[in-house]
Amino acid sequence: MARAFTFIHTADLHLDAPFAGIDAADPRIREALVDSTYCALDRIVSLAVERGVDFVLIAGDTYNSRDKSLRAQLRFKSACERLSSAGIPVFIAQGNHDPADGWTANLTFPQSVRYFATDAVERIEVLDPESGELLCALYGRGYAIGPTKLNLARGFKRETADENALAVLHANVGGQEGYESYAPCTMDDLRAAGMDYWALGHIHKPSELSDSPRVRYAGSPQGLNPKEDGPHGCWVVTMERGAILAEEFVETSCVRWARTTLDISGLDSLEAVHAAIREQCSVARAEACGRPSVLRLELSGRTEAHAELARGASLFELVTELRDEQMVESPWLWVDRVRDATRGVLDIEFLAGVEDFTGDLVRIAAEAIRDPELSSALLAEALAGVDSAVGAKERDAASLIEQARDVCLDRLIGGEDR
Amino acid sequence: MRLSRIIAERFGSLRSATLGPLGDGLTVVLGPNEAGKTSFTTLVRYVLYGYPTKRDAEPDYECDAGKRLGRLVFSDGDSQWALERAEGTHGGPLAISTLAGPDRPELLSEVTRGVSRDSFRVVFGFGLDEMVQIETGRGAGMDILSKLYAAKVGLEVSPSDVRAGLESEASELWRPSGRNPELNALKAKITEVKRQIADLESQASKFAQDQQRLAELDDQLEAARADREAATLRAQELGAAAQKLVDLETRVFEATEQAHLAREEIAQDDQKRAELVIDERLLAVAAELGEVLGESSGFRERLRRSGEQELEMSSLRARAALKLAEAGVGSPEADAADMGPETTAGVERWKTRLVGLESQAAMSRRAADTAKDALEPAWLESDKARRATSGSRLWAPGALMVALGLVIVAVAGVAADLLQAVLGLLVTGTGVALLVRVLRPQTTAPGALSREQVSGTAGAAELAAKRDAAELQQALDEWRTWLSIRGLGHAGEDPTAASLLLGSLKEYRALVADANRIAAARDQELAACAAYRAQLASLTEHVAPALSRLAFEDIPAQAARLSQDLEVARAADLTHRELNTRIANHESVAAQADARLALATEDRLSLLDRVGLGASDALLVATEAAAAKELARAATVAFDKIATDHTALATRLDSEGRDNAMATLRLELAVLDERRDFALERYAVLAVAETLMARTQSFTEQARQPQVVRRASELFESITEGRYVSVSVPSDGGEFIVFDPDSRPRPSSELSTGTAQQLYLALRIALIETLDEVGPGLPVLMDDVLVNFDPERKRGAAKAIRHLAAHRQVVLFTCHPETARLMQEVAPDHSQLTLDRC
Repeated sequence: MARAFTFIHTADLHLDAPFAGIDAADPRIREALVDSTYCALDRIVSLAVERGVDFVLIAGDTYNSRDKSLRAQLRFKSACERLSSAGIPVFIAQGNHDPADGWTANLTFPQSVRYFATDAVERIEVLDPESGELLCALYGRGYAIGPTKLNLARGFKRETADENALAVLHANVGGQEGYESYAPCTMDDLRAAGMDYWALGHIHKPSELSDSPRVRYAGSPQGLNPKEDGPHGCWVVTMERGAILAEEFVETSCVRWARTTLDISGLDSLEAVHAAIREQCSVARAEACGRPSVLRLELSGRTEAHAELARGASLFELVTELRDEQMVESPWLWVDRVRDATRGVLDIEFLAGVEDFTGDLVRIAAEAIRDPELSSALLAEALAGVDSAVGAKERDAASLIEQARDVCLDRLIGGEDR
Repeated sequence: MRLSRIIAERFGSLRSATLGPLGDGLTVVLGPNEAGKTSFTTLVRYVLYGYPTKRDAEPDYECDAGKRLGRLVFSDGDSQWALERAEGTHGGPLAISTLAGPDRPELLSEVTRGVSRDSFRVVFGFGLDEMVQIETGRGAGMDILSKLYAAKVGLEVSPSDVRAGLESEASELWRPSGRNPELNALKAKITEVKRQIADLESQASKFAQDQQRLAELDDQLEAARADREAATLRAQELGAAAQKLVDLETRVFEATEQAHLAREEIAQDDQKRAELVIDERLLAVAAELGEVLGESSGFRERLRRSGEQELEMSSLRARAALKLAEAGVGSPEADAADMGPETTAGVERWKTRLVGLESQAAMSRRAADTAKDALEPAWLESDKARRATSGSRLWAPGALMVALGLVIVAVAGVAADLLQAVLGLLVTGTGVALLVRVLRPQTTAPGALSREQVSGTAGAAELAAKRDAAELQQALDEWRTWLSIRGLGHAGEDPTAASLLLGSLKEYRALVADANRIAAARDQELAACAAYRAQLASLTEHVAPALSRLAFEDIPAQAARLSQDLEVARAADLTHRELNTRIANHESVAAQADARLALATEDRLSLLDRVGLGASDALLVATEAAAAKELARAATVAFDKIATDHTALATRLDSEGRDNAMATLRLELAVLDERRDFALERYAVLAVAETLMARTQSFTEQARQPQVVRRASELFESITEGRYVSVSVPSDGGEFIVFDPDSRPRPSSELSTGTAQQLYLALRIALIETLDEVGPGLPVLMDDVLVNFDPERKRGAAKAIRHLAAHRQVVLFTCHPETARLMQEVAPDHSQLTLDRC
């Protein structure tokens, strides 16, 4: 009878991943972000060594082969060597970002690093290095040539003699939105395999799909963009005879992403807005549990301060001042984009009934919003030039026209120049 | 509310002037040139909107007398207020004062509401210079029509300005062929960063190739290392072989020479050995004889000692005889006497005892004699004492001590203890002394000894003396008996003599014993000498047959001769054996040389065979070794080059692998993308807003502006007396167009100056008529604007002005009296003021 064993389940490290959607103007935030995925990897390795786990499972997307990052592969190799020195083997099922035929730097990894086969589900026995007894059987399959739409989960089948059976796969279970439907499968597919634990990758938000069998997404150990807010880390699981004795999600991210919408209705000055954002920064800093964090804000609501926010560089100056304030605190907090989605205190319905320029404007805008052809024509007329030069973007025409309308009204009604 | 007076202080030529009162409707101000008409018009603008700065390119109307100051007095019913502005910074300070009625602190904004400085200058307070600006200003940000329309409908800013602002802001974000706008710059940066990333990706792709190249270099390095080691080994092998070959050839030569020399030595030594004569008989016993001869000195020593012992023995025996004679004792008695330790001790005891007894006897005698001598005086003293006293207290102790002393003496005598005897005598004497003292006072004291007591003491002393004498005699008898028993009877009674005799006899016996011992030793020496001679004789009977009969004294000489012969024989034997050894050694050397020669020859052939050079000689091998060394050097150079390449490549790859430039660039790209998206978002809003504004403006111009244009057309038709029937104001800022009754268009640029000014006046009047609450307190100040009109059109214009004055206060400045008169005709109820030349 095998003894209890402990393992770490991680995935989607995306080492050296290109961050998206952040205006990291400050060198400190840049440095922290450039190093954050490695920092998370180091924390996982340290955690494995400190806890003395029996092995580490990586469910795909260790790095982006497409990015051809030498540093990513070298740092991953170093991490594996640290684990190998501690006698901790690593089992990897490759994902869509690091398929078997992806670019590699031809590095030599320690023998304790094992990649699952990519042509079929491979069963690997994990033995107790001291007694030689079988601890558990690992089942896994990696991606051979990048994204796959095959249901790889159906190839998993537990051998009846296995006392402990774990599966490692990079897949989208249940067609989760916001993620490509690679290796699509259902919970029924997973249950049919008869595994004790499913170590999944691909979904960057850590999640618990099922407790029987235990199905977990580790999520990315470090949030990779403002949308990946909240805690990110890995699972530390202890099993014995197919049962979970202990399970813990340990946060490993080195920079915490946070995003929130701040309703500033009722605030009528930039000072009040400033104070409200500062308070939100405090909340985000507290939630980061001592980590540096990046906060993305959207200001919403109809407010007297809208005109001030919309005027010239007011918002930019406000954000700059907030950044200066927040970056000197410890841990630092980077106020990323503050999106002004506020609206002025305009009675659009009233204006729509007024027979003057503003009424004309409101009505013309409304007509364009109602009629897709008109809105397309309006956007094409306004943006064809920039789109051809900079690149076309998907836009919410109605929202854009509303914003443009409000800008016009703000200036027409609230402007100073006559 | 209306402007009732204009007061100028130090304003250009107007040092201190007041214009007023102004009428509610039309006021015609007639004044010659340089009367200050234009100055008043301008002053109103400066008071309302501030004095211009140098950059504003407006006439300054400065005055040498001091700071400029203007005051406008407004009236509303019975109330009056003054707006006063003195020259100063930021347009100069404005003061609002109430001359009558309630305060109106917001008077200025009430008066000018919705009318900007430019609008006032172009529309409300204008002269000929400003007439055309209603058209030309549209292209320079002064779309006065639009502005005033916006003001009319309650907009804070004109649509044209909003649109221009949007356009301006958008152009700061992006321009089609710009470089500096944010999006243009970001696009360029993104392109550059992408290029850098592509370069790095290219490097990364090359990394794998370089890794392969590194692996190949690893193999090459290993091969080069093997080549280098093989070449070095070959060079070392040939170098060593060449050296070894030289050694071997040297060894062949040396071995040959050595064998030859050894054989010559053998021949010489063999000759010497044949010439040697050796006494074999003597050598046969050489060992034993050598040992015996080696003991000849011992023989001589023994012989010498035996002589000395003979002499000493004789001397001792003579001295013993002499000692015996001195003691007077024959040798038999001397030999028979007991001289053991008991005897010696007994003589001493006897000696002590007898001396003690003799001493005791003598003292007893003296004591008895003393007591006897003291008897007579005692008698006399006794008598005296008896008369004086019956006794003394010292009597008893004295008597007791005398008795005790005598007892001690007696015991000492028996024990022959001299010390004890002396002690006894001392006690006795003390007792006697005490008694004498007792007796002496008794002669004078009543307590003195009696005569009987003294007699008793004397008698006792005498008895003791006799007893001691007898005891002494008995001891002497015993002493003599004791001596006889020990054979010493002839020693006499004197214990000291006996003691001396005993000593002499002991000395005699010692001398005899020594003599006997030496005699025995001498005999042993002589026996040893005899044994030596016999041993020597037995060994040399064939060379010295008479030796056994030689006297001891001749033996040393004979032994010396034998020693010499033996030495000669041994030397010859040694030489023989040395020659044998030498010959054997030489033979061995020769054999070894032969062996070495054979071995060296074989090694040489083997070595040449091993290095693959067959029958070469050392010179050829050395040449080959030099060539191999050169090859080894070349292999080392090749290895070093590959190693250098390997190290450089490995270092570069290691450095590249640790470089975070890629990550930094990707983050930079993300930042730029984010900024681009953000800027694009803002641009999109601005661009769509600007488009919305454009569309709305277009719609408005078509749907709403015709009201103004229609009124302008009516006025223009009236002024031109039907020459032109309509006016068009293009919304795109284009040139005004007028149409004749046949709808033939004519752009303003083709109109005469006067006609164009009539068009501009018509537009102003039409516009002002529609403004209602825009600039409600502002008068319309016209500075000789009719000067270029012909009389007919001037009349038409006057009528239009009269019509305007029905809605808004109008002040018409003119320097032409006919114009004043015309206005009088057209509007007889107007106010008229005159100005004199300044």
